[in-house]
Amino acid sequence: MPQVADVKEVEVVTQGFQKGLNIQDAPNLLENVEVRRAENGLFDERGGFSKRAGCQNMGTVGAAGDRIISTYVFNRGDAVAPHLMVHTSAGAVYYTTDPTANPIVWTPVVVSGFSISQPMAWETFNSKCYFCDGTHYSSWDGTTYATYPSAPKGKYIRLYKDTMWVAGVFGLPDRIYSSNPGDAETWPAANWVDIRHGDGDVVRGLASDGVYLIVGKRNTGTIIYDPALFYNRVYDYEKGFESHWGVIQHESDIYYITRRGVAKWAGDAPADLISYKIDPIFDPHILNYNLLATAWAYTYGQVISWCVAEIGAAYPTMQINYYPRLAELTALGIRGLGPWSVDRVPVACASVYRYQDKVRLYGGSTLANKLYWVFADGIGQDDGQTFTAILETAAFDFGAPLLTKYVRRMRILGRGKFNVSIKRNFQNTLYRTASVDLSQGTDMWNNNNWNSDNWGPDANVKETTVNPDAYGRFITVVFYDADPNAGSMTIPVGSRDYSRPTGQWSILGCILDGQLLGVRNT
Amino acid sequence: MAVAANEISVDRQNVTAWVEAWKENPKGKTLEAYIRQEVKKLGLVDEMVDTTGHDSLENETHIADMIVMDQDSYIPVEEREKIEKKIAASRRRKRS
Repeated sequence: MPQVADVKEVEVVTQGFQKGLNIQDAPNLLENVEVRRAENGLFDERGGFSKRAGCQNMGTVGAAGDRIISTYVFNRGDAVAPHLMVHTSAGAVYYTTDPTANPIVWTPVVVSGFSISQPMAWETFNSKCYFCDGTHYSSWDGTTYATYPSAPKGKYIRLYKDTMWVAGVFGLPDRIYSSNPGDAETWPAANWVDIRHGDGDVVRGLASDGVYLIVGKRNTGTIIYDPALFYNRVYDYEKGFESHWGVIQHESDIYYITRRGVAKWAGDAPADLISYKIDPIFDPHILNYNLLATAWAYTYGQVISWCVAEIGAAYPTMQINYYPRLAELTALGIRGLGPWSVDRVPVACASVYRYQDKVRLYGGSTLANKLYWVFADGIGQDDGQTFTAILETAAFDFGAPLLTKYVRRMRILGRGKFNVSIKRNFQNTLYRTASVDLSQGTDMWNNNNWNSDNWGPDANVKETTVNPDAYGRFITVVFYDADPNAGSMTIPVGSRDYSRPTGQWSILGCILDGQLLGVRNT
Repeated sequence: MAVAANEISVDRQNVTAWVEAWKENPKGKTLEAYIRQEVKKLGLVDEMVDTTGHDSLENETHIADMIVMDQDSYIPVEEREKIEKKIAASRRRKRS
């Protein structure tokens, strides 16, 4: 029954969104610094959220129906530009020495004969790029292609202790091969070992932290700690690798996709699962578990991303993003768990290319025969397609969950143009919506229009007020857009401000103020 | 005394050549018998591999056994079995 109560002024200030996505907890139990949805944006300033940049098409490779299924950057020292290598669904391998040209000019290394579905695994050793796909083991030195018919035809290769290691030979699910030390082209006939022989599981990838060779089966992880005699032991009896390409190193840590989520290598000990807050994603009703074997990891900036396919999809449709740098540090300097978000960038595999002053992420499109420059400067769409970034906050109860609130106004701090909506009481429908324009005005002073234009640069971060005139007990704020344009953010470096390209908008904070009312039905 | 596997003089190129030769002319032998014969020809009669790091093997394993256990990485099982079935049938015909 409604009760009358004294009206009391109240306000809620968002404390940032630095704890990121939380879909593990019930929607009413989120902390105010967690969010229910975070897609197509970056937590690029602690607590803030910015729409990501888009993808620029850099042209096609091979025939019209081909798709890029694996990418790699073959670094060739100081004097020669790195080669961006791609493996396509036509079983071909191409390279380019200049992926910044548009369209890119591709040169075939091999025009056919490689797998049309199994992504290539790559390593660089002795100034050659070695690659294998379960059908061939080959090398490319920038001029000469060679294949080695007698080498084990595995799906995975990894360099460890100056030796090439191969696994994934058809019919030998436990077997790991090792080349001669210092020579990735000679394979002693008895230089192999079975890891957990006959356990019914299959090696899904190889990795190394420099000290150990890490052999991931689907359900277990094993280390080889002696490269000559193959001494090994299981370090994790409960979870292993889902994908060879889902293993990635970032700031002295190794992260990988397991059947239970994303794990962080903990040395010679069971790996730590770090994806608790997005646990529900690792469900066969959401992810296409059959394609986890080709999940692909990349790092760009301070973010680690995994391309994964959702249920019903034949190619990756989503990226799971982890921000290790945004994790809290304990008093002992131990890093906690960082925030998560998701992207829907239309790439299945991607590699970071760095040459001279360029650092770019290039990815193979899932939609067409195209290579994309991912997060391209000044690009607000994904290859001409507008996409939406969204951030949905926790449900704020203003410290009085039982009482209905009247939300009089919202003050919003951010950049660019976006929409702000309010949901109430955990309902899906948008209860109130307003458009916000915090975009930076152009400096018109040079046009000689004295006293009529902006004098000096306009602010990059702005504040505005919205009057939602809303009632509810739990108030969720949703920030989103469908704007095709890119944006920028200002980075202060001493006395200079640098403009960094980014997506159209950022949300940095929001203040809601209103009144606590009595107990009502809304 | 057993040695590390990478100190054995036989490499996969040698074995690949044996398998190719066997495919062309098995000489009435199974691949396993053929491999053992070729290893013997090299004089590796007592060549033992240190397999202490292998969970499923004794501490020392003969080089020929190591290669035989890995023969499926050189030739698809179906192809090998097809050739070996032909050899067995030919033997049966000779006996009858």
